[in-house]
Amino acid sequence: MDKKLLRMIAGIELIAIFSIWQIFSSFSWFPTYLSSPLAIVKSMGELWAAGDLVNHIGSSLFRSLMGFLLVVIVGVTLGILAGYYRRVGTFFNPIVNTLNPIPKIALLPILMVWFGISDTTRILIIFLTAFFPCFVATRDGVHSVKQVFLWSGQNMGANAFQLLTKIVFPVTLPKIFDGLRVSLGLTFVMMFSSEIIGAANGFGLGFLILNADLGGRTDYMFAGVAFIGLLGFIFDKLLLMIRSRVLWWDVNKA
Amino acid sequence: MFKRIWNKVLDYQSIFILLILWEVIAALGIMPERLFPSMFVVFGVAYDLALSPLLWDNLSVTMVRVLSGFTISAVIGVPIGIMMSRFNLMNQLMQPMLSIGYPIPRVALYPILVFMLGIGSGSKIFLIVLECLFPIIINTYYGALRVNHIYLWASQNMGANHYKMFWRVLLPATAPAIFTGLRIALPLALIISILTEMISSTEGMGYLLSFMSSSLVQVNVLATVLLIAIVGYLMSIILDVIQKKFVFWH
Repeated sequence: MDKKLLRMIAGIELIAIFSIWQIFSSFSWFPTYLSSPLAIVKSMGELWAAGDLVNHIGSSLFRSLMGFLLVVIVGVTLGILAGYYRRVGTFFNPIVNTLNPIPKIALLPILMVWFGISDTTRILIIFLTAFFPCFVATRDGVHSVKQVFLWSGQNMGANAFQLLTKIVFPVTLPKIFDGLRVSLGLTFVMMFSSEIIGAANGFGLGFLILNADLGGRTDYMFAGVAFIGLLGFIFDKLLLMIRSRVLWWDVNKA
Repeated sequence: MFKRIWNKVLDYQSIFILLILWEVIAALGIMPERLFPSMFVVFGVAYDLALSPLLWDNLSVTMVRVLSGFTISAVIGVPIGIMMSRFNLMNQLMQPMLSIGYPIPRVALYPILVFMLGIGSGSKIFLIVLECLFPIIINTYYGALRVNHIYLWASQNMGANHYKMFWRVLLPATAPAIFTGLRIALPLALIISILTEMISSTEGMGYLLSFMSSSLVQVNVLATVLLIAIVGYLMSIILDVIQKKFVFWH
């Protein structure tokens, strides 16, 4: 489909929604707690000017990106090994199949007692949640590598390591990126939830929203939500950019 | 017989290894016993909890939220996904919304939803719908797009009207993809329900969990987590059974 047309429609839709919101709240047809887009933009500016925002965003990003990095390293490595070596696969599959449908957020109180209300707990819970989609996607990706590729590689004298790095990994890469995209979304979800459930001190966008909530400042709340949304959006687009850079040969782009 | 049991044990060796490791750590006393109780104690407490009304009252509240949110998002999401694949206008209207809304962590809206819909089930169900809608719509859309055109042409050729084509060809052909979406959405619904109940609630499994953890008895917390895990696992098994029944050819 035409990309330009889609962008235009998206712009029109967004402008329509925001202007309806603005009109309704400036005639005070909405209750005041719903704020208004202009007020939210204003309080976003205020937060930015107050100076704490960089710390909030910084520590939130540190947590989510550390968790995501762990997922990328551990999830992709284990996924490829579990898909490639049958023994590793049979070892990990039962764990993954049983733990995958379980809501990992339930582990948060336990981790809090073991590791304290610290960044370790938050990064761990982010890792635990985001690990499974990445692992499953990578493993299934390795399984979907065509046997012909492996045979021809072997035929041309590639050893096991070369097969893994030269054939299995590149062929799996599109699937890995699909899994990573889901993981990245979950990362931000868990970042917010771990910050809002733990006690509200220190820095983080979740704390910002929680404090605004306690103070009844809905415009600051909306501003915090807007910042989290922006971060999620930007990092998703970044991942897609990296994907299209790395996977320039992939035909069906996301 | 013995051999079959042994094979089953071998299949699930990793889980047994984890359990044994846990027991060894608990027995050696590396962590204080209050923080790291033996699994058998946890099983016992979980069993007691499963017999008490405390669990069933909270579990029923959570299940009502999860299932109603999940059902609403399935009922809205599947038709939207199929309509997007069939009607260009619908696709052009929805596609930008999806690409903007998908990467945004929608959980962050929860405090605002509490303001709008109150602290009860309304805000929680709404958030569950918001989270579950996207995977269902996206999977249904791509599944319906990939339906082989030959099937549609063949059915038209044999004189099927729109109604028949939808129910007999398009929907069954999309069903595997729909179930993929539902499979992603169902655990999400449970996660969101428990998460929102942990943030603010007076009933539900998430509330039970935070209630237990604020009493600082780690055995109870672990038992609650175990029960939640069992519920999550059972839900995925039930979805498996339903899928096998409806998509038996896949």
